[in-house]
Amino acid sequence: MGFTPLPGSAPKKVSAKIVVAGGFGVGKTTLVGSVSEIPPVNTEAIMTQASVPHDDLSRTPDKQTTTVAMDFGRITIAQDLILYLFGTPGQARFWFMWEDLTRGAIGAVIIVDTRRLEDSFQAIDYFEKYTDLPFLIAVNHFEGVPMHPVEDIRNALDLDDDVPVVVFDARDRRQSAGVLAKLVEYTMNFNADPALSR
Amino acid sequence: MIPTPPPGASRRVRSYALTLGRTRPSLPLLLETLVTAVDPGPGGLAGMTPEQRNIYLACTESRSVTEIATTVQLPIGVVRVLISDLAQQGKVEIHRTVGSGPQADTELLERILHGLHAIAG
Repeated sequence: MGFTPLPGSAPKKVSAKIVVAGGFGVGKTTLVGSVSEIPPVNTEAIMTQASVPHDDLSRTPDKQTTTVAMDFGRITIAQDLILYLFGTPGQARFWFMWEDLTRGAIGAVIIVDTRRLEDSFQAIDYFEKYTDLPFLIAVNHFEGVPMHPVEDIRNALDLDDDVPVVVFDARDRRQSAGVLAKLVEYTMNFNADPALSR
Repeated sequence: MIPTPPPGASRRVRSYALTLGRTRPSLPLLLETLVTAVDPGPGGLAGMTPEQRNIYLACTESRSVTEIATTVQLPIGVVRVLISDLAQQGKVEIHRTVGSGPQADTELLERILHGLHAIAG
């Protein structure tokens, strides 16, 4: 990709990112925690709030910084291939960060809790309107909660027919990995078929 | 039809030009971009600012921009600029990312898929 390594440079590596979104308490931290190989899951990053509209860090490198707690995980696919998971911060005041979080991502998993579907509306809206990223809906099935038919959930969320809806338990590492796999699979189809693109 | 870029997209590019333009990095520094410290050469770590040295030491094993920023406790925007400077001086290497949309590397996506399937069992 146009990058000429220096002599004696480090072995080539590649990274990728999946964004994990959804309302507060739907299971973002749980999903990231169940598949990530690194603790702590909840990391604090200092973001420069001014970076959205008219930022010039070379002039004022430390203006308006804010500490954002976000879920952050890592999965080493191979020595040279690392997958990162970034959970979106829940608070509305951190919306400025979403562009940074989604830029370059291979796709997004939006988690919903069927007891409060509306909590994930904002996230779905964001991905539909402001990004070209493929996303899927992962229904975190909480124990003891009656399971709604997937079609009902799809209708309630007013999703396009091609958006996958999967049911999983975010506490289960294998199921969480399965959701991520499903997203990557969907991404590959999505990228290959422009008709699927919104 | 050409898709409409998200709001702020054009400004975003300009913001990068402002922060990183002076070093003209070959690759954008995304939150997940991996950075690795390389042999600093005869000068060693001399000549680095304390912040640059901390960043260098934080990525003696490949680390993402986010991990480096949280380790050195500096704003991500500032860390991007400093990493970029270090890259230009040949002290660190910036790795590529799998990419998004039509630019995504299908072969790498395939490998990620297999890796995740292996965990999912």
